[in-house]
Amino acid sequence: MNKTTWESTVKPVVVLSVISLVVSLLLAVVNSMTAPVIAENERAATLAAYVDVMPSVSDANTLEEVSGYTTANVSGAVKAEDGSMAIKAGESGFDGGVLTVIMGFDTEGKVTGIWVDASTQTSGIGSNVAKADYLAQFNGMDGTQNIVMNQDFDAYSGATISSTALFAAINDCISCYNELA
Amino acid sequence: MASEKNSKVSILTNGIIKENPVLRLVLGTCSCLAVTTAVSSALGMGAAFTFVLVCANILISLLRNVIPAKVHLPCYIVIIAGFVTIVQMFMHAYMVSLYNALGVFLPLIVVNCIILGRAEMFACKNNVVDSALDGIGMGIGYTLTVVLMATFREVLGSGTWLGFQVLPESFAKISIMTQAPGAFFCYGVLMAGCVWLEGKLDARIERKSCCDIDNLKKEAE
Repeated sequence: MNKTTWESTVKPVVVLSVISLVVSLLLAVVNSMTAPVIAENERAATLAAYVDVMPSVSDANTLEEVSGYTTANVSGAVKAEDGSMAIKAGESGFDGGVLTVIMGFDTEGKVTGIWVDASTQTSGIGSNVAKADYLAQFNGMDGTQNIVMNQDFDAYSGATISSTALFAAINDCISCYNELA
Repeated sequence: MASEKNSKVSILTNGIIKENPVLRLVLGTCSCLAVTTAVSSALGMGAAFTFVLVCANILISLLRNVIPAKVHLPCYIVIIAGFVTIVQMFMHAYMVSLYNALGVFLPLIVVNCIILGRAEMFACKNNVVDSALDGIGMGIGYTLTVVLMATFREVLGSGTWLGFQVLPESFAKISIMTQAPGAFFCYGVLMAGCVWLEGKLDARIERKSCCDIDNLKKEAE
């Protein structure tokens, strides 16, 4: 191999590959350090949201994890000591971003609260479906009947795709509640 | 020796006014307009940005004789993206609220023209110490600019500074300051202020520009 081939062809490939490899290794190390912390943070945020939607609960430690549900898209459910429940579900909204909903149900199946994480949706448009004054319409509704968008409740004007995901996730929670109750 | 020391100081201070990356080089304006609605997110962005800039400058300066000209841009991007992702992961783990506030603008530091620009204009031609100083200077310049801009926008637009109420509730909030047009308005005013300040400083003290440093070095050789 003559010197010009090395300089013009092989060296750039080798240097770029080595740099990429070293950077990937470094990222793998950092990821293994931070991933557990991130997972723990998310768990704490979910627990806080469970407490948020259940007025009868004030301490997340009293909640009991429920399993054995088969409803699709439901990622978690907890039961409080008094029998009220909170269910977490996610549906993909705009551009594949997953919109997460946590709903609280009291012992009679009435909705006691709804928490929405729409941070994956377009800021200022789709993210509006998480606004408190919009979500207030769902409080106190019958949590045993599935709902239809624009018939039972309004979509957020201008955010149809995110609203559709929100209604689908709400219906997932309701179906799961009916399955567990 | 005196001029050597002088040139080190002027590399550091270059980024603050004379070659302020945002106001004088007009680079990286997108993130600058976007993150300046609140002082807290501007501070976070400035810190993340400075960290990435200094690290990338140091590493690229170290590797400046190894990286072949043919693939220099891909190499720089890989290095910069690596540092940005490290910052992003740490922020996601330990500063969740800041991570959420910065949103997409944190990963977008990768393609921030200031970092790539300093790698291309400075780090690939200068030694490690000078490149690190350039990174620190540019980082301070960027951070000062975004914090100043965020101060204007947050105080006038929301009546708060770093989240604390500074204007009385009765004061009418200028909500346009929190939106894009207010950002451009602030940007223009700051840019004009920077040019004015530079003229004032030039009249008072004799300053060596970046080109002069290059000339000084050539003379020394």
